Amino acid sequence: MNKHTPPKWADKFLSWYCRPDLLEEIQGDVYELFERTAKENQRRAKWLFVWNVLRFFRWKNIRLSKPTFVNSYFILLTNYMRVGIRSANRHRLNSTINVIGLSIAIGVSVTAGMFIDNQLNSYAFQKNADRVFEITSLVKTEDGVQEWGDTPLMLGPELRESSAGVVGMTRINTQSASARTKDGDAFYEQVSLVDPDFHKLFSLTSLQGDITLIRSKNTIVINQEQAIKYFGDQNPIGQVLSLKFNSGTKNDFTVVAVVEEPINSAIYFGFIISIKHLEIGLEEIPAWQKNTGATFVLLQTGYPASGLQPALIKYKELQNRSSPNWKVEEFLLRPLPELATNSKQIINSVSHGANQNVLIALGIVSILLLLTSCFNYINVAVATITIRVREIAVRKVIGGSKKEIVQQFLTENVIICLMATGVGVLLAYILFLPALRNLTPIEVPFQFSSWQIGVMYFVSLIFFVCLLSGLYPAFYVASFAPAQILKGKQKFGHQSGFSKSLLTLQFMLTIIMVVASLMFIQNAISLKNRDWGYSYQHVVTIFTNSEPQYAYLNTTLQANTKVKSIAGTVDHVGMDYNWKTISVRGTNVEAMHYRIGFNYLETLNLKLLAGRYFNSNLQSDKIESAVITQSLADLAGWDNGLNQTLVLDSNKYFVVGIVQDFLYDAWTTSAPAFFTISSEEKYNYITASVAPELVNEALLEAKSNCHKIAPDDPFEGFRQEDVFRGFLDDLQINIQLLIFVSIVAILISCLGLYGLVAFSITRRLKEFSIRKIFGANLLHIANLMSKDYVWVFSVAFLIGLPVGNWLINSFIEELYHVTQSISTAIVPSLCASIILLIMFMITLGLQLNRVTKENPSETLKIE
Amino acid sequence: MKGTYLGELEELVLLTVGILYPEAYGVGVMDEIEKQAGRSLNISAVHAVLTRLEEKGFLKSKMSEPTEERGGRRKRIFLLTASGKRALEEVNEMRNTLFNQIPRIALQFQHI
Repeated sequence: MNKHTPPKWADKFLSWYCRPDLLEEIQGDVYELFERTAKENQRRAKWLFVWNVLRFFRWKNIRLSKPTFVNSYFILLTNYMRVGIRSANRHRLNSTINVIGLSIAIGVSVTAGMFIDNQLNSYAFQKNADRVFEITSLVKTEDGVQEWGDTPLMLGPELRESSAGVVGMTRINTQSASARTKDGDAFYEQVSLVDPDFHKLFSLTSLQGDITLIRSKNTIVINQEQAIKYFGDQNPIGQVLSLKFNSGTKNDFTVVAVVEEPINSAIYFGFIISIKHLEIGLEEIPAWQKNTGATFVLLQTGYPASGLQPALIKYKELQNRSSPNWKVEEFLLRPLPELATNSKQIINSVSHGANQNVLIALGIVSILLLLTSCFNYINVAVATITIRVREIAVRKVIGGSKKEIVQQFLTENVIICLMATGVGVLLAYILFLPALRNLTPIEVPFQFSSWQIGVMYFVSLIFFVCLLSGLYPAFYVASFAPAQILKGKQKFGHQSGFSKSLLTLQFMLTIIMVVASLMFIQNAISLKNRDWGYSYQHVVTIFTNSEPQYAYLNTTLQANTKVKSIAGTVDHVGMDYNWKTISVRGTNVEAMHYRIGFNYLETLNLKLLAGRYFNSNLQSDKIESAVITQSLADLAGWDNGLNQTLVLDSNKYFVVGIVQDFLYDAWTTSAPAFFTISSEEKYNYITASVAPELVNEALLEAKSNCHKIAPDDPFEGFRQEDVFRGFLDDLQINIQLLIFVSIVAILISCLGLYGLVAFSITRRLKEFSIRKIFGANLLHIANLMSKDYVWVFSVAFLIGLPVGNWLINSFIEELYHVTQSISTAIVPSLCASIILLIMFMITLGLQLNRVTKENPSETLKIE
Repeated sequence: MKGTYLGELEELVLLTVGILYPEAYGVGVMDEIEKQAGRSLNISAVHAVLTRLEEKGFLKSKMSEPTEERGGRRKRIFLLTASGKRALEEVNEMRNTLFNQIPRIALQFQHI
């Protein structure tokens, strides 16, 4: 026999594709030719073999159907399943660890997936979403090119008239108006002014009445929530609702329809009325100068958006000629579904999209958790394989191929993964999602935006988890040589470089997550505890609509003995931002301008650094005095700012006092600012200082007083503490989410470690018993045990800490525009290290306990 | 009707199977054609023709006894069927008839 063999792969390829009934003769012929040629030239023989195999790859020779195979494969599969369930049952600790770890991670990622999906597809409920476009204006201003939601009022109707492709158009203009409930309470509400085509573009479900009636002027469509708020259990249809607009006009509207509020829409529709109301008071402005909040068009099916370009260019020129101060560079067409993510880029957008940073962070976190738990699975699976090597060896000896063993292990893995997915979904449903719902104001339904996305999500999740966790262990097992296993020669389950690096990677991910969370929390706490620059705890502020209202409130508050100090103001710290260009020493600088009343600075208790507050007895203070902040003095370059001058709109002001910087906005630290005195008739707010415990009482009192004088106007009073409430609440949510994520990450890691240590102790139980007999103490054994992991920990810490720091710092910078110094990283890093070390020690300790309790004579007696 | 026509290569293979009786199989046929007709064919082409001829009913086949060659694999031995024999005869006859109809003068080349 010739010892030279043809190329193996070609031979395998032939056996794979060839019809079984033809295989023998074809293979025989190819081999015969090979052997004949090999006697002369082996290289040529090999080439010839490959060539012939390829030439035989013809339609007639290829096996197409394998009817018998499917049946036997099914039997095989059920068999694998049975074995899988049995083995999962036998090694209960390991399977429990795997299932728990995986299911927590899957639960989190299902929750995150649903959240992200719902945020990204907030237009899924819109029937015509793919044909609806928002027109936005690209405007060039001093700050560069910006995209605005505002578009010329004329644009929509003109397009609808002249473009064949546009079959529907609505403009949306949002206004604030106050309305009164049956009980007499007044509220500010957001009213959307729309065109008659509105219902064609936005498919809102009508619960009662007919939404198309919106075309007439004095009709209104309200959503269910508002119907309950304003009419209680009465039938809202036909009821009259009176709205008082900011311009002061008051109109009565008849309710013609009640719509269901979509669960997760990026545009809010509470009150919908006809756009005709917008035209009131705008008659004298040139047509193309008037703007509306948003313009949406509905295109004909199949009509390309680019078809509108020529018309848009024409209207752009019309617009540019009409308003030289507001030149539109280009009108853009934004598809409605895109608004779910784009809204943040559009200034003054009527839609509010998702915060992409948060979505990305959530996605990353859930992928990291999945990775960690998959690594866990691999480690535990590889380590525990020893228990089953004999089974595998026997299978191989009686003819099981490598492929079949891989299949068997993958099947077992699929069972575990499916179980974990089931538990994970359950966890998401009963635990994670309700928790998320409690935390965030966003309503997250337990569903995907469409079933296709749901199916795709779950299929890819299971596929990803199964392959990632199962592939390596399966191939690892299948590669054993049976003879050596049965002879007991080969050592298994010892930690290979691969599984060690996996362990390191897993710990590293955990450390990254924990450090990042702690750093973020630290940053959040420091943001929360920032010095506001004034005492906010005992200040209440009431918004006043009119002069008489102000006067009346002023007298009632003055009469109140509990009120320590009181002041009126046009602009209120924390509420209003008035950037002004002022001139100091001949140069222009930007500063925040507050027009205030006397006593305002005292009421807020802004700390005076130099000079004095305003004095109501001095006539000059009313017209030409200013109090500035320290940072404005620094910006102007004054060593001593007192008595210097600043020029605003050609009025000269003398600096009479300098106060400490204060927090004007939750997102930034401080800004240069200056205060001037304004006359009383312009005041918008009245601010009072009371003892902190009387704040709520003072507000209630002011409310009842307000109601007496202006029953139509909603009462808007607030504690100064609450001006940054939204921001602080968000911070709180973030902190809670991150704490949760860290706990989950630590839990998963510790579970994995527990499984590994448990196994390695079982394996070394005899060794430890002998050591114990010879007098080794617990410390010694603990030392031996942890030796394996010291390196893993060290590397994980050394890489994980800086990476986590770097990641979260760039995130914080992106989000809060705060650059953190390196020193801030020390405390979180230390905390993270200590927490993790303690958790790891506990995990190790739990298992060590087993060694101490074990009686050496018992363990050594077995066998 | 499909399959009654005998192609040139098919005719060649059919003849070779007859020549090699009772040992005609893939590689053998290939070698014989190369030896007798000087045409070098790929083994897969030979297989394709043999299968086609079997489908047309001109050949039948059976598996041989295993031998030590070819790693113990059996050969598929092809034999002529009655219709195969008839097809060959027809082709042969037609050739002869046609050839005999060529005027003698056309074959006398010395005049040219």
